[in-house]
Amino acid sequence: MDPLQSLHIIDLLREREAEFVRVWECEQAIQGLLQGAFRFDPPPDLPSRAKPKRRRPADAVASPRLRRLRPDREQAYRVEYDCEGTVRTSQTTNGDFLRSLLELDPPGLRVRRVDSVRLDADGNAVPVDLLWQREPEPGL
Amino acid sequence: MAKTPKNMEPLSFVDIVMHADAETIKAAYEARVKVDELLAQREEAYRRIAELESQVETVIGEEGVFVFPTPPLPVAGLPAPTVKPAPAKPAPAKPKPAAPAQPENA
Repeated sequence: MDPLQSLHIIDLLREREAEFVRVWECEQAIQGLLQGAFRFDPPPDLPSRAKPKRRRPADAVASPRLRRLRPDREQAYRVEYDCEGTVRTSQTTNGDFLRSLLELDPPGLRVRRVDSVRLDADGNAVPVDLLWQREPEPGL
Repeated sequence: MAKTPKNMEPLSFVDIVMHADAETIKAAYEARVKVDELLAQREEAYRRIAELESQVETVIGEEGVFVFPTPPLPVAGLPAPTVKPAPAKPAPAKPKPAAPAQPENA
């Protein structure tokens, strides 16, 4: 979820909370008038009162698997990612960090693909295997 | 409009006129109008809450997944707000037993 969506949800929840305060005020005023003798009808069917759905294991987001480097022929991971609208590449040997990054998938730093690379005699990174690639998002 | 509770017999017009004095009837009428007005406001607030919750689910993109917080104040028919227990106050220190009085050297 992107930060704008989160902010929008926070705004909606604040407004919802204010409406609940209004419900409470009305109920208190009625009970004040009738010395607590009023019996309220149950609240209407709200989405929040619906039974929460249980996610089937198949629906859960699979943790991205990224295999370890093969020391005999691979020396680093090359990561291609979007950062502030620009595609950049970087290299790392830290597989644990990379796996956490793929799992978190922060909107400000979206990994596009990960390759394993070996360094040639001149120190240039030569791709070996494609290890992970983002699936195209629906509608794109 | 306020409903008559199920276990109460509704009073007829004659019952009201013959068994209550004019001041009570007037006060009861005003209270009834006010109660109906407040019930309409409560209903409108719930309509708005349903609308806001639907909007949240639209943003989430799936129904029945988002766990909505409980109402901030206790309202009829819904779970009470979760109140965090206040941190336990440290027990007051026991007063130390008074030191035995020293005999005064006269």
